Amino acid sequence: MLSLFRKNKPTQKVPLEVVDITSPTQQSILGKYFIGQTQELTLEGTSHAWGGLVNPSDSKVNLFFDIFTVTNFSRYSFLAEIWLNAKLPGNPTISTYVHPSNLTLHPLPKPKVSLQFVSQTLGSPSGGVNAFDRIVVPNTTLISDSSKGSIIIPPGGSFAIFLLPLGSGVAQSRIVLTWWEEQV
Amino acid sequence: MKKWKNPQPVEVINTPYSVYAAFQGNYFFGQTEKLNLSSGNHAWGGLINPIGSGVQLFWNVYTISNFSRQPFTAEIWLNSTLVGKGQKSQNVSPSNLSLSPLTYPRVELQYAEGFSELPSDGIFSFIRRVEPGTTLTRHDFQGLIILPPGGSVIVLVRSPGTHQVQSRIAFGWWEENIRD
Repeated sequence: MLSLFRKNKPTQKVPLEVVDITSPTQQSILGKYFIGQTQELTLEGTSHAWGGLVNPSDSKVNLFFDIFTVTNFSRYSFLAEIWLNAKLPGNPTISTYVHPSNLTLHPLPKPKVSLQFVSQTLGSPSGGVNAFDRIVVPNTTLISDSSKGSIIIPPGGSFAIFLLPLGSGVAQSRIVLTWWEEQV
Repeated sequence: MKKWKNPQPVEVINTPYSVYAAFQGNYFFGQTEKLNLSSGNHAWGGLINPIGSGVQLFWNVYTISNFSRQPFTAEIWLNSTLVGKGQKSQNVSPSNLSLSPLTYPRVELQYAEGFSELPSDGIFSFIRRVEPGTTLTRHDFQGLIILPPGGSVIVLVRSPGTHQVQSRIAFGWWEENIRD
């Protein structure tokens, strides 16, 4: 880091300094990065819940999934299953808790992708891929690592987190999802 | 063909943007005083970008300490009408202390406690559940939330009922002059 403060002479063999703007920050500056959350979800026994991002068939954007968080407000652990392109149960609500991360723009950009959720459904996902699972312990927020653009969902696809109890007891949760969108 | 004989990688130093901002004296951090929550009285700590500041606020990191034995919920609100009486924190510093004179932030770190109302407008962005006796330090939404002059972000710590709870909230951010 010392080299940053040194006047580099052309004859010296010193590394070039580049400033690394992470892709998410760059997407945010461009107004293409969005943050959204579900309402409070309830799960108990055979009653499940999910929250997810649905990329409409005619959106003309690819969805670059970045970060998810799952909060457990209860004293009971539950399981969070990550599903790609699955058919999800219940009649979903479209969340209004969605905003661009860059609030300096006029007008504020709107996402093409919609954040949807279902609370207290008896069904389970079908089709698609259950890519991985996480146990969410009591009274915590589980925070994923940034995918850094490695999960890309085309128009017609979806990314969803399906919550199911691991034992008895009522649990409340909220899911937060962040993503950016790029023209196909 | 000769130039393929001995290919050398180009050496670069990879500097995160937040570090670059720090070198220029545009990166700041600070914390609230200890905040008391009891029986329905909440608290918040936040960054307020004043109207006319001439800078955009890039919110980078935050930590939330829970000094009590009760878990609580922290709600992150953007551009909400501030509830309670905000006070300006003095515990604020530039991260680059090698500059002379030291730079100072345009953005204000404020906090409030002892109020029972919740924000009624603005954007309810996300939440965190904070375990007892811990500091939540996970730096997840780094450099994503950008706020114009007149904008604000607050971490609202909700009172968990009748229990006495103490908390402290810290922030790191950088500022960029608005180019026109």
